Amino acid sequence: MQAIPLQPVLWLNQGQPITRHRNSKKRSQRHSALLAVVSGLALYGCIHLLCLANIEHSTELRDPVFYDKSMSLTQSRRAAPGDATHLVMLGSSRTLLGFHANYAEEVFHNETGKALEAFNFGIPATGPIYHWLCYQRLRALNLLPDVLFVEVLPSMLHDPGTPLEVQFLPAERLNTQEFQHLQQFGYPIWHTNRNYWQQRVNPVWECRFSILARISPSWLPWNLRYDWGRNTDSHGWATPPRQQITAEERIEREAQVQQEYASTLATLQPQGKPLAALQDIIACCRADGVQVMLVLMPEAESFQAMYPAGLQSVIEAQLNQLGVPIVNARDWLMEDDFYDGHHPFERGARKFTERLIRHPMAATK
Amino acid sequence: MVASEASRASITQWSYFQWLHEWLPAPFFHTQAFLLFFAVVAAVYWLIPRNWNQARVWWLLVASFHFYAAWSAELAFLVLFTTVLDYSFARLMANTTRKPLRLALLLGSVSMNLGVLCYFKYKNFFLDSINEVLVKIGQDPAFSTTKILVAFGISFYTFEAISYAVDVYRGRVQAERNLPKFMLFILFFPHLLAGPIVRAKDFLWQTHRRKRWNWYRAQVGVQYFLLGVFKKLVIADRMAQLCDPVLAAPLEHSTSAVWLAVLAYSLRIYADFSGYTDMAIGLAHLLGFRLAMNFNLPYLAVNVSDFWRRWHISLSTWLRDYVFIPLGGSKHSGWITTRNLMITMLLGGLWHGAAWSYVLWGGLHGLYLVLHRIFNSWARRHDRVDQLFNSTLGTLWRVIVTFCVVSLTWVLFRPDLQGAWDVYQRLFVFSPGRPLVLSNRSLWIIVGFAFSCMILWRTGWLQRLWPRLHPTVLGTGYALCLCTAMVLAPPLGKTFIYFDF
Repeated sequence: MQAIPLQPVLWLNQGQPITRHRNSKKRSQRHSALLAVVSGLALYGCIHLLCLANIEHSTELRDPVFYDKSMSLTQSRRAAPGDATHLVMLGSSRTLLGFHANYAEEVFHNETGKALEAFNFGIPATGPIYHWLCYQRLRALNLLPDVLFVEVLPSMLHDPGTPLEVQFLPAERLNTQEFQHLQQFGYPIWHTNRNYWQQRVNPVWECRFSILARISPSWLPWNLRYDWGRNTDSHGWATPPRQQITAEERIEREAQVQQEYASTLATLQPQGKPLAALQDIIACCRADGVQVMLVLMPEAESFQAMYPAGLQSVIEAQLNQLGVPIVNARDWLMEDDFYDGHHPFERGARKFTERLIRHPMAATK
Repeated sequence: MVASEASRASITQWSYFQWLHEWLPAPFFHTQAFLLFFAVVAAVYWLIPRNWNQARVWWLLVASFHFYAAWSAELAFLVLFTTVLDYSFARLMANTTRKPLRLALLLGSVSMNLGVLCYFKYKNFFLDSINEVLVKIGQDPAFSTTKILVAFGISFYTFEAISYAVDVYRGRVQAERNLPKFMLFILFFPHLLAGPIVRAKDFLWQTHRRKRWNWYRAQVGVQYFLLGVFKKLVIADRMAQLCDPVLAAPLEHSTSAVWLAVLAYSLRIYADFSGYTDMAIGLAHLLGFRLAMNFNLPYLAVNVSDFWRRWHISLSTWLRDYVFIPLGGSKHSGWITTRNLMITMLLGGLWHGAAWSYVLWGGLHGLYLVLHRIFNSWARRHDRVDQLFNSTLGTLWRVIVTFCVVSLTWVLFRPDLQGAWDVYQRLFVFSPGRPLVLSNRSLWIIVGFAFSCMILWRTGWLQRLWPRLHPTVLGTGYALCLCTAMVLAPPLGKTFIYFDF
């Protein structure tokens, strides 16, 4: 048997049989190795625990878009004059692109001479259940507004047994408490949700995109950067980089929207848990002294053509039962004001915002 | 992921293996499912008393079978069957001294293994090639191709079996009497699917050794495994994100994007394969086994001959020992040596894939080796040239040229020649087009990091530093390495390239 040379060895000498070292050297090597492996495991465990703690107590890793929006809202609130009325609009990407909060402040001031602090809390692919969650989180952060506008996205009212919105609200965005609370709105039972447990077992892996998006977003494709909360103005509003599109591009985008929405709208059943979530938001607002108003966002004629006959009336009737003011802004904009039939350009956002702020119902709030 | 629907359909008929497939859906070392599988296997293995070595061998054998059967039960049984036959052939060879019989048994074993390899890997390739020739000469295609199960790792374990049979025939290795130990030599799951190609003389004695848990060895295993995970997730998969879209449609991208994609692909293939090997070596160490080193900084090679002493060492030494040397090696005239080199490299190319592009790739490397031999013998006769090339700048120049030549040849490392031709067109005819999908910055950071590590390793700096580090510093490094690999892993994982071989 050949002896292993007594030089520091990083990797075992390949191809040579191991032989006995002197006992003390061998013992020392074993102790060092044990210490290295155990300390590595311990640190790895600590990193995971830290990550888990962040997931449970903060939204920074598990819901970075909400986190960024809430940070911006905090800054906006601090910068606002002391006598300003605080307005927040909760909504989806329609709100993100449609509610020009900064412009709303201008219009309001011009109309009334008073100060308004408006913030756009639009987050893509969200509906009443997520908006309920946002409200609870804002309450916990002491960021409740004086006036709350809540967008109603008709497709997210769909509840054929399990609310459609559940598909767009992954378990990884929730902490344990929220996970339990959302079961009242049709969310799957927490102890069987695989994604929830995967995130708890390996939080660094499950949150890797939000971690990398914080450090170096250019390493990720655009849809995994979760930067919709950061690439906005200081009042949370965003707009497409281009404000004009060609006719071919419009046709292509409208076809995409058709593919996304047509089948859902054709079989839409506005009922059940999403409406219950809206009701709960309204109840919470009343309890907290927040004035609330529902908004049906603008839609181009091409988009409205996807609704089956009578569905819009059903939706309005359901919403009327909630007992709060409703602004039906669906017909407020022209086809050219949108880039895909329901997300407006900047000019569309300004038109909508101005009309919304000047609307009698909004004005009384 | 290369997967055969036929493979999936047949598994569903066996409910136990269907359950197994659900729990271990992919044979990748860096998945949570596999790590859980390995943790269970290793825990039971080390809990078995040291004196019960045979029980440990059986346990590893059962685990290895399940590892392969989780992907394809039929192929797992096929490997078992051919392994038992290989064992029988070798035992019969050992029990007779009659040369013609021994030769017949050897040929039987080699034919069986090559037959299995040719059927699963090359049948459709050969039939398609014959049909193409028939069509070109105006005849109708005579053969129809059928869908065949993708046999992961078939090229590796058939070569191991062939090397064993030849070594027993030559008397270099004694025929293993213990069937489970021999089966473990073939089926040992760390090296089963993508090597390294293990030799019987290096592995079989380890199955007889009673192993004791050794923290030092465990540390080495953990280091290798983490290194492999880092190479796979951070370098290989990330480079795949950059190069795959470009190499799939080179004519739509700009010349600069295609050059960067070729660079990314070179790094990808190295990190992918060496990363897998490192994980395999690490896992083997954690079970008390040692596997052969398979890579030795190939992109710092000074010439193509040196490259093949550093790249896929287990394959290149196998080809040298079982193809090149039996053909006569380099002992004869220049023409004979050239012939031997070309045959060896053409077969090496064909081993990698059932397509003419791989054969061409192998042929080009054969040509490089031949040209290098000619140039080398000329340079040695001219001292000044020899001194110039051996100087620091000369060595740097040679490393760069070798890397460029090898990288440009990797373009052929794909199933279709037309795609490779499109890439070459784009590389050497300046054209505008789409840029890389992601920013170039991530590419240059990773390339710079990878080459810095290679140079630090080559100069011995890392080897000198490592033993001086306090164990807790090393432990911190392990944890940070793993967390960094997880964070930087791209969205979509990629299969290991060499699983296709």
